[in-house]
Amino acid sequence: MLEIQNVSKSFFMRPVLKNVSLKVEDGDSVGIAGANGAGKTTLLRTLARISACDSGDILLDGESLLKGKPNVRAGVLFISHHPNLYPVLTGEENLLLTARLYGQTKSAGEISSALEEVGLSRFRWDPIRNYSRGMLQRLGLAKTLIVPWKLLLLDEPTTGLDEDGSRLIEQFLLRWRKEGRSMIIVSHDIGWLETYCNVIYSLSGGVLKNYNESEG
Amino acid sequence: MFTALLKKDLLIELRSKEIVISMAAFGVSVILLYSFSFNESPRTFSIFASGLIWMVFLFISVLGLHRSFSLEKEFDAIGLILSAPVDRSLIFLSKWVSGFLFLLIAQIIIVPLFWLFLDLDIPEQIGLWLLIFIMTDLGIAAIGSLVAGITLRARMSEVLLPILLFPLVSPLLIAAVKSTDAILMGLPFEEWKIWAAIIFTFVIAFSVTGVLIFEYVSEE
Repeated sequence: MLEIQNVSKSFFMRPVLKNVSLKVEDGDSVGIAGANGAGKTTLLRTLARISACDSGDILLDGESLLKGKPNVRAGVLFISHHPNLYPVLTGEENLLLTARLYGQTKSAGEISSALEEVGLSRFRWDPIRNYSRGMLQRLGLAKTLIVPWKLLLLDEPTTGLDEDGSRLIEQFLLRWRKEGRSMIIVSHDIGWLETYCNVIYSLSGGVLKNYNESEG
Repeated sequence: MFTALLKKDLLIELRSKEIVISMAAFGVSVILLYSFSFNESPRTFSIFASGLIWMVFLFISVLGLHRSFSLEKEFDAIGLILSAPVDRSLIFLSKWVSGFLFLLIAQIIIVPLFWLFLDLDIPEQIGLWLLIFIMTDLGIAAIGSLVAGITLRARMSEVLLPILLFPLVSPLLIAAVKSTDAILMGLPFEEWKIWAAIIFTFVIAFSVTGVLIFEYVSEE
Protein backbone atom coordinates (compact mmCIF):
# COMPACT_ATOMS: atom_id res chain seq x y z
CA MET A 1 0.00 0.00 0.00
CA LEU A 2 2.80 2.43 0.90
CA GLU A 3 6.19 2.49 -0.72
CA ILE A 4 8.92 4.87 0.33
CA GLN A 5 11.58 5.07 -2.38
CA ASN A 6 15.05 6.41 -1.51
CA VAL A 7 13.83 9.38 0.49
CA SER A 8 16.57 11.75 1.64
CA LYS A 9 16.31 14.94 3.61
CA SER A 10 18.79 17.39 5.10
CA PHE A 11 18.40 20.28 7.48
CA PHE A 12 21.00 22.98 6.81
CA MET A 13 23.38 20.55 5.03
CA ARG A 14 23.00 18.00 7.86
CA PRO A 15 21.52 14.80 6.45
CA VAL A 16 18.61 13.55 8.56
CA LEU A 17 17.27 10.84 6.26
CA LYS A 18 19.61 8.98 3.92
CA ASN A 19 18.01 7.05 1.05
CA VAL A 20 15.26 5.65 3.24
CA SER A 21 13.23 2.94 1.52
CA LEU A 22 10.35 1.00 3.06
CA LYS A 23 7.32 -0.99 1.98
CA VAL A 24 4.18 -1.22 4.05
CA GLU A 25 1.68 -3.87 2.96
CA ASP A 26 -2.05 -3.78 3.71
CA GLY A 27 -2.60 -4.70 7.36
CA ASP A 28 1.03 -4.18 8.35
CA SER A 29 1.80 -2.50 11.61
CA VAL A 30 5.30 -1.14 11.18
CA GLY A 31 7.31 0.09 14.13
CA ILE A 32 10.22 2.49 13.73
CA ALA A 33 12.55 2.77 16.69
CA GLY A 34 15.44 5.08 17.21
CA ALA A 35 17.14 7.42 19.65
CA ASN A 36 16.19 11.08 20.01
CA GLY A 37 17.22 13.00 16.90
CA ALA A 38 17.48 9.87 14.76
CA GLY A 39 15.02 11.30 12.22
CA LYS A 40 11.90 9.32 13.17
CA THR A 41 9.60 12.32 13.46
CA THR A 42 11.07 13.86 10.30
CA LEU A 43 10.26 10.65 8.41
CA LEU A 44 6.65 10.69 9.61
CA ARG A 45 6.29 14.43 8.88
CA THR A 46 7.60 13.78 5.38
CA LEU A 47 5.04 11.00 4.90
CA ALA A 48 2.34 13.36 6.17
CA ARG A 49 3.54 16.03 3.68
CA ILE A 50 4.30 18.55 6.44
CA SER A 51 8.00 18.34 5.55
CA ALA A 52 9.35 18.22 2.04
CA CYS A 53 12.07 15.72 1.13
CA ASP A 54 15.15 16.53 -0.97
CA SER A 55 14.91 13.44 -3.18
CA GLY A 56 13.01 10.20 -3.56
CA ASP A 57 9.31 9.49 -3.82
CA ILE A 58 6.49 8.14 -1.66
CA LEU A 59 3.78 6.06 -3.31
CA LEU A 60 0.41 5.28 -1.78
CA ASP A 61 -1.47 2.59 -3.70
CA GLY A 62 0.78 3.34 -6.67
CA GLU A 63 0.18 7.11 -6.68
CA SER A 64 2.80 9.63 -5.65
CA LEU A 65 2.02 11.41 -2.39
CA LEU A 66 4.55 14.08 -3.30
CA LYS A 67 3.49 14.84 -6.86
CA GLY A 68 -0.11 13.63 -6.84
CA LYS A 69 -3.27 15.57 -6.14
CA PRO A 70 -4.17 16.36 -2.49
CA ASN A 71 -6.86 13.68 -2.38
CA VAL A 72 -4.14 11.00 -2.73
CA ARG A 73 -3.34 11.61 0.94
CA ALA A 74 -7.00 11.48 2.03
CA GLY A 75 -6.51 8.08 3.67
CA VAL A 76 -3.37 9.03 5.59
CA LEU A 77 -3.84 10.36 9.11
CA PHE A 78 -0.95 11.72 11.14
CA ILE A 79 -1.15 11.83 14.93
CA SER A 80 1.84 13.69 16.23
CA HIS A 81 3.10 14.24 19.76
CA HIS A 82 2.38 17.92 18.95
CA PRO A 83 -1.37 18.52 19.13
CA ASN A 84 -1.66 19.85 15.53
CA LEU A 85 -4.85 21.59 16.61
CA TYR A 86 -5.91 25.19 17.26
CA PRO A 87 -5.48 26.23 20.92
CA VAL A 88 -8.26 28.85 21.00
CA LEU A 89 -10.86 26.48 19.57
CA THR A 90 -12.73 23.96 21.71
CA GLY A 91 -12.18 20.21 21.52
CA GLU A 92 -15.44 19.86 19.61
CA GLU A 93 -14.59 22.64 17.13
CA ASN A 94 -11.16 21.17 16.49
CA LEU A 95 -12.66 17.77 15.70
CA LEU A 96 -15.32 19.31 13.46
CA LEU A 97 -12.60 21.20 11.59
CA THR A 98 -10.49 18.03 11.26
CA ALA A 99 -13.48 16.14 9.87
CA ARG A 100 -14.24 18.94 7.42
CA LEU A 101 -10.62 19.06 6.19
CA TYR A 102 -10.84 15.33 5.44
CA GLY A 103 -14.08 15.86 3.53
CA GLN A 104 -16.29 14.43 6.28
CA THR A 105 -19.52 15.96 7.52
CA LYS A 106 -19.91 14.88 11.12
CA SER A 107 -22.87 15.61 13.36
CA ALA A 108 -22.48 16.95 16.88
CA GLY A 109 -23.56 13.51 18.12
CA GLU A 110 -20.74 11.74 16.25
CA ILE A 111 -18.18 14.22 17.59
CA SER A 112 -19.63 13.82 21.05
CA SER A 113 -19.34 10.03 20.97
CA ALA A 114 -15.72 10.26 19.73
CA LEU A 115 -14.92 12.58 22.62
CA GLU A 116 -16.70 10.27 25.03
CA GLU A 117 -14.69 7.30 23.83
CA VAL A 118 -11.43 9.08 24.67
CA GLY A 119 -12.77 10.38 27.99
CA LEU A 120 -13.06 14.04 27.04
CA SER A 121 -16.81 14.60 26.77
CA ARG A 122 -16.82 16.77 29.91
CA PHE A 123 -14.31 19.12 28.31
CA ARG A 124 -15.80 19.33 24.82
CA TRP A 125 -16.59 23.07 25.09
CA ASP A 126 -13.29 24.08 26.68
CA PRO A 127 -10.65 25.76 24.53
CA ILE A 128 -7.90 23.20 24.13
CA ARG A 129 -5.22 25.61 25.36
CA ASN A 130 -6.64 24.70 28.81
CA TYR A 131 -6.11 20.97 28.20
CA SER A 132 -3.24 19.08 29.82
CA ARG A 133 -0.68 17.27 27.67
CA GLY A 134 -2.43 13.95 28.25
CA MET A 135 -5.81 15.42 27.29
CA LEU A 136 -4.34 16.74 24.05
CA GLN A 137 -3.00 13.26 23.28
CA ARG A 138 -6.48 11.85 23.88
CA LEU A 139 -7.95 14.49 21.57
CA GLY A 140 -5.43 13.40 18.95
CA LEU A 141 -6.72 9.85 19.37
CA ALA A 142 -10.28 11.10 18.86
CA LYS A 143 -9.21 12.19 15.35
CA THR A 144 -8.75 8.52 14.47
CA LEU A 145 -12.45 7.98 15.20
CA ILE A 146 -13.75 10.68 12.87
CA VAL A 147 -11.36 10.40 9.91
CA PRO A 148 -11.74 7.28 7.75
CA TRP A 149 -8.01 6.48 7.53
CA LYS A 150 -6.31 3.70 5.60
CA LEU A 151 -2.85 4.36 7.00
CA LEU A 152 -2.21 5.80 10.44
CA LEU A 153 1.06 7.54 11.27
CA LEU A 154 1.61 7.61 15.03
CA ASP A 155 4.46 9.63 16.50
CA GLU A 156 5.37 8.63 20.07
CA PRO A 157 1.72 7.97 20.95
CA THR A 158 2.18 7.46 24.68
CA THR A 159 4.11 10.68 25.35
CA GLY A 160 2.49 12.65 28.16
CA LEU A 161 -0.21 10.07 28.86
CA ASP A 162 -1.05 8.94 32.39
CA GLU A 163 -1.76 5.29 33.23
CA ASP A 164 -5.39 5.48 32.05
CA GLY A 165 -4.35 7.25 28.88
CA SER A 166 -1.67 4.66 28.14
CA ARG A 167 -4.22 1.90 28.65
CA LEU A 168 -6.58 3.67 26.27
CA ILE A 169 -4.00 3.92 23.48
CA GLU A 170 -3.08 0.27 24.05
CA GLN A 171 -6.74 -0.72 23.64
CA PHE A 172 -6.95 1.29 20.41
CA LEU A 173 -3.74 -0.27 19.06
CA LEU A 174 -4.82 -3.80 19.89
CA ARG A 175 -8.20 -3.19 18.27
CA TRP A 176 -6.59 -1.84 15.09
CA ARG A 177 -4.14 -4.76 14.98
CA LYS A 178 -7.06 -7.18 15.29
CA GLU A 179 -8.91 -5.38 12.49
CA GLY A 180 -5.79 -5.63 10.32
CA ARG A 181 -5.39 -1.90 9.83
CA SER A 182 -2.16 -0.40 8.53
CA MET A 183 -0.03 1.74 10.80
CA ILE A 184 3.44 3.17 11.12
CA ILE A 185 4.32 3.77 14.76
CA VAL A 186 7.37 5.65 15.87
CA SER A 187 8.81 5.25 19.35
CA HIS A 188 12.15 5.14 21.13
CA ASP A 189 10.95 2.05 23.02
CA ILE A 190 11.54 -1.12 20.98
CA GLY A 191 10.02 -3.33 23.67
CA TRP A 192 6.77 -1.38 23.50
CA LEU A 193 6.74 -1.49 19.68
CA GLU A 194 7.19 -5.27 19.67
CA THR A 195 3.79 -5.63 21.34
CA TYR A 196 1.91 -3.80 18.59
CA CYS A 197 3.95 -4.19 15.42
CA ASN A 198 4.62 -7.11 13.11
CA VAL A 199 7.66 -5.47 11.49
CA ILE A 200 10.17 -3.30 13.29
CA TYR A 201 12.83 -1.07 11.77
CA SER A 202 15.49 0.94 13.47
CA LEU A 203 16.48 4.38 12.32
CA SER A 204 19.94 5.55 13.21
CA GLY A 205 21.94 8.36 11.66
CA GLY A 206 19.27 8.74 9.01
CA VAL A 207 19.64 5.11 7.85
CA LEU A 208 16.66 2.75 8.14
CA LYS A 209 17.36 -0.93 8.81
CA ASN A 210 15.19 -3.94 9.52
CA TYR A 211 15.58 -4.32 13.28
CA ASN A 212 15.54 -8.12 13.29
CA GLU A 213 18.14 -8.32 10.52
CA SER A 214 20.36 -5.66 12.05
CA GLU A 215 20.18 -7.41 15.42
CA GLY A 216 20.87 -10.77 13.83
CA MET B 1 -12.84 23.55 1.74
CA PHE B 2 -12.02 27.23 1.24
CA THR B 3 -15.00 28.23 3.37
CA ALA B 4 -13.95 25.80 6.13
CA LEU B 5 -10.47 27.36 6.21
CA LEU B 6 -11.80 30.93 6.12
CA LYS B 7 -14.39 30.16 8.79
CA LYS B 8 -11.62 28.71 10.94
CA ASP B 9 -9.56 31.95 10.67
CA LEU B 10 -12.59 34.11 11.45
CA LEU B 11 -13.69 31.91 14.36
CA ILE B 12 -10.19 32.00 15.86
CA GLU B 13 -10.18 35.80 15.64
CA LEU B 14 -13.69 36.00 17.08
CA ARG B 15 -12.49 33.97 20.06
CA SER B 16 -9.05 35.45 20.59
CA LYS B 17 -9.67 39.03 19.34
CA GLU B 18 -5.89 39.32 19.11
CA ILE B 19 -5.48 40.51 15.55
CA VAL B 20 -7.99 43.29 14.93
CA ILE B 21 -7.70 44.78 18.42
CA SER B 22 -3.91 45.02 18.26
CA MET B 23 -4.09 46.51 14.75
CA ALA B 24 -6.74 49.06 15.72
CA ALA B 25 -5.04 49.97 19.02
CA PHE B 26 -1.73 50.63 17.27
CA GLY B 27 -3.42 52.61 14.48
CA VAL B 28 -5.43 54.80 16.87
CA SER B 29 -2.33 55.51 19.00
CA VAL B 30 -0.36 56.67 15.97
CA ILE B 31 -3.25 58.88 14.83
CA LEU B 32 -3.39 60.50 18.25
CA LEU B 33 0.33 61.19 17.98
CA TYR B 34 -0.16 62.67 14.49
CA SER B 35 -3.01 64.79 15.76
CA PHE B 36 -0.89 66.32 18.56
CA SER B 37 2.19 66.72 16.36
CA PHE B 38 0.37 68.50 13.52
CA ASN B 39 -1.94 70.50 15.76
CA GLU B 40 -0.22 73.79 14.91
CA SER B 41 -0.01 73.27 11.17
CA PRO B 42 -3.03 71.49 9.68
CA ARG B 43 -2.04 72.75 6.21
CA THR B 44 1.29 70.86 6.43
CA PHE B 45 -0.57 67.78 7.56
CA SER B 46 -2.98 67.78 4.65
CA ILE B 47 0.04 67.71 2.28
CA PHE B 48 1.42 64.57 3.94
CA ALA B 49 -1.90 62.95 4.94
CA SER B 50 -1.88 60.24 2.23
CA GLY B 51 1.65 59.07 3.02
CA LEU B 52 1.07 59.12 6.75
CA ILE B 53 -2.11 57.07 6.66
CA TRP B 54 -0.65 54.40 4.37
CA MET B 55 2.35 54.19 6.69
CA VAL B 56 -0.04 53.37 9.54
CA PHE B 57 -1.71 50.71 7.37
CA LEU B 58 1.63 49.17 6.47
CA PHE B 59 2.60 48.79 10.13
CA ILE B 60 -0.76 47.45 11.25
CA SER B 61 -0.81 44.93 8.42
CA VAL B 62 2.58 43.56 9.53
CA LEU B 63 1.20 43.31 13.05
CA GLY B 64 -1.92 41.48 11.85
CA LEU B 65 -0.11 39.15 9.46
CA HIS B 66 2.45 38.17 12.06
CA ARG B 67 -0.23 37.38 14.62
CA SER B 68 -2.38 35.50 12.13
CA PHE B 69 0.48 33.19 11.16
CA SER B 70 1.77 32.89 14.75
CA LEU B 71 -1.57 31.34 15.66
CA GLU B 72 -0.80 28.63 13.08
CA LYS B 73 2.49 27.92 14.84
CA GLU B 74 1.02 27.46 18.31
CA PHE B 75 0.50 23.73 18.99
CA ASP B 76 1.93 23.23 15.46
CA ALA B 77 -1.65 23.71 14.25
CA ILE B 78 -0.52 24.28 10.66
CA GLY B 79 0.43 20.57 10.63
CA LEU B 80 -3.28 19.71 10.69
CA ILE B 81 -3.96 21.63 7.48
CA LEU B 82 -0.76 20.60 5.71
CA SER B 83 -1.26 16.89 6.38
CA ALA B 84 -4.95 17.00 5.40
CA PRO B 85 -5.98 16.39 1.77
CA VAL B 86 -6.33 20.12 1.14
CA ASP B 87 -5.16 21.96 -1.96
CA ARG B 88 -2.57 24.34 -0.55
CA SER B 89 -3.56 27.17 -2.85
CA LEU B 90 -6.79 27.23 -0.80
CA ILE B 91 -4.74 27.77 2.35
CA PHE B 92 -3.19 30.82 0.67
CA LEU B 93 -6.57 32.06 -0.54
CA SER B 94 -8.16 31.75 2.90
CA LYS B 95 -5.23 33.56 4.54
CA TRP B 96 -5.40 36.24 1.85
CA VAL B 97 -9.12 36.85 2.33
CA SER B 98 -8.98 36.74 6.13
CA GLY B 99 -5.93 39.07 6.13
CA PHE B 100 -7.83 41.47 3.88
CA LEU B 101 -10.92 41.37 6.12
CA PHE B 102 -8.90 42.00 9.30
CA LEU B 103 -7.14 44.96 7.67
CA LEU B 104 -10.43 46.34 6.41
CA ILE B 105 -12.09 46.09 9.84
CA ALA B 106 -9.13 47.84 11.48
CA GLN B 107 -9.32 50.57 8.81
CA ILE B 108 -13.03 51.06 9.43
CA ILE B 109 -12.05 51.97 13.01
CA ILE B 110 -8.97 54.00 12.13
CA VAL B 111 -9.93 56.02 9.03
CA PRO B 112 -12.88 57.99 10.50
CA LEU B 113 -10.71 58.91 13.50
CA PHE B 114 -7.91 60.00 11.19
CA TRP B 115 -10.27 62.31 9.31
CA LEU B 116 -11.91 63.55 12.49
CA PHE B 117 -8.80 64.24 14.59
CA LEU B 118 -6.90 65.82 11.74
CA ASP B 119 -9.79 67.80 10.37
CA LEU B 120 -9.49 66.68 6.75
CA ASP B 121 -12.10 67.22 4.03
CA ILE B 122 -14.09 64.25 2.76
CA PRO B 123 -12.87 63.55 -0.81
CA GLU B 124 -15.33 64.21 -3.61
CA GLN B 125 -14.47 61.01 -5.51
CA ILE B 126 -15.41 58.84 -2.56
CA GLY B 127 -16.22 55.77 -4.69
CA LEU B 128 -12.79 55.80 -6.31
CA TRP B 129 -11.18 56.45 -2.96
CA LEU B 130 -12.85 53.38 -1.46
CA LEU B 131 -11.89 51.31 -4.50
CA ILE B 132 -8.21 52.33 -4.12
CA PHE B 133 -8.37 51.41 -0.44
CA ILE B 134 -9.88 48.00 -1.13
CA MET B 135 -7.52 47.19 -4.01
CA THR B 136 -4.43 48.23 -2.03
CA ASP B 137 -5.62 46.20 0.97
CA LEU B 138 -6.03 43.18 -1.30
CA GLY B 139 -2.48 43.75 -2.58
CA ILE B 140 -0.99 44.10 0.91
CA ALA B 141 -2.86 40.98 2.09
CA ALA B 142 -1.72 38.95 -0.95
CA ILE B 143 1.96 39.92 -0.62
CA GLY B 144 1.79 39.63 3.16
CA SER B 145 0.19 36.17 3.17
CA LEU B 146 2.77 34.88 0.72
CA VAL B 147 5.72 36.32 2.68
CA ALA B 148 4.25 35.23 6.03
CA GLY B 149 3.87 31.72 4.59
CA ILE B 150 7.52 31.73 3.54
CA THR B 151 8.73 32.95 6.94
CA LEU B 152 6.34 30.78 8.95
CA ARG B 153 8.93 28.06 9.60
CA ALA B 154 11.81 30.45 10.25
CA ARG B 155 13.01 30.80 13.80
CA MET B 156 12.97 34.62 13.70
CA SER B 157 9.87 35.02 11.58
CA GLU B 158 8.86 38.24 13.35
CA VAL B 159 12.11 39.83 12.15
CA LEU B 160 12.10 38.25 8.70
CA LEU B 161 8.52 39.17 7.86
CA PRO B 162 9.02 42.97 7.72
CA ILE B 163 12.47 42.61 6.13
CA LEU B 164 10.99 40.67 3.21
CA LEU B 165 7.63 42.42 3.12
CA PHE B 166 8.63 46.09 3.09
CA PRO B 167 10.63 46.07 -0.18
CA LEU B 168 7.97 44.00 -1.95
CA VAL B 169 5.10 46.14 -0.81
CA SER B 170 6.83 49.52 -1.39
CA PRO B 171 5.81 50.03 -5.06
CA LEU B 172 2.23 49.17 -4.15
CA LEU B 173 2.20 51.67 -1.29
CA ILE B 174 3.82 54.39 -3.40
CA ALA B 175 1.01 53.88 -5.93
CA ALA B 176 -1.58 53.94 -3.14
CA VAL B 177 -0.14 57.18 -1.71
CA LYS B 178 -0.06 58.84 -5.14
CA SER B 179 -3.62 57.74 -5.89
CA THR B 180 -4.93 58.89 -2.49
CA ASP B 181 -3.12 62.20 -2.94
CA ALA B 182 -4.68 62.72 -6.36
CA ILE B 183 -8.14 61.88 -5.01
CA LEU B 184 -7.73 64.30 -2.09
CA MET B 185 -6.65 67.02 -4.50
CA GLY B 186 -9.66 66.26 -6.71
CA LEU B 187 -7.58 65.45 -9.81
CA PRO B 188 -9.40 63.64 -12.64
CA PHE B 189 -8.81 59.88 -12.90
CA GLU B 190 -7.10 60.31 -16.31
CA GLU B 191 -4.21 62.11 -14.62
CA TRP B 192 -3.38 59.37 -12.10
CA LYS B 193 -4.68 56.20 -13.73
CA ILE B 194 -1.14 54.83 -14.03
CA TRP B 195 -0.98 54.53 -10.22
CA ALA B 196 -4.31 52.72 -10.13
CA ALA B 197 -3.00 50.38 -12.85
CA ILE B 198 0.09 49.61 -10.74
CA ILE B 199 -2.11 48.72 -7.75
CA PHE B 200 -4.30 46.49 -9.90
CA THR B 201 -1.24 44.77 -11.43
CA PHE B 202 0.22 44.06 -7.99
CA VAL B 203 -3.01 42.49 -6.77
CA ILE B 204 -3.20 40.20 -9.81
CA ALA B 205 0.52 39.32 -9.85
CA PHE B 206 0.83 38.43 -6.18
CA SER B 207 -2.48 36.63 -5.84
CA VAL B 208 -1.62 34.41 -8.82
CA THR B 209 1.93 33.86 -7.50
CA GLY B 210 0.55 32.93 -4.09
CA VAL B 211 -1.88 30.41 -5.54
CA LEU B 212 0.85 28.85 -7.68
CA ILE B 213 3.70 28.62 -5.18
CA PHE B 214 2.10 28.28 -1.73
CA GLU B 215 2.30 24.50 -2.14
CA TYR B 216 6.09 24.71 -2.07
CA VAL B 217 6.63 27.53 0.42
CA SER B 218 4.40 26.03 3.09
CA GLU B 219 6.43 22.83 3.60
CA GLU B 220 9.37 22.58 5.97
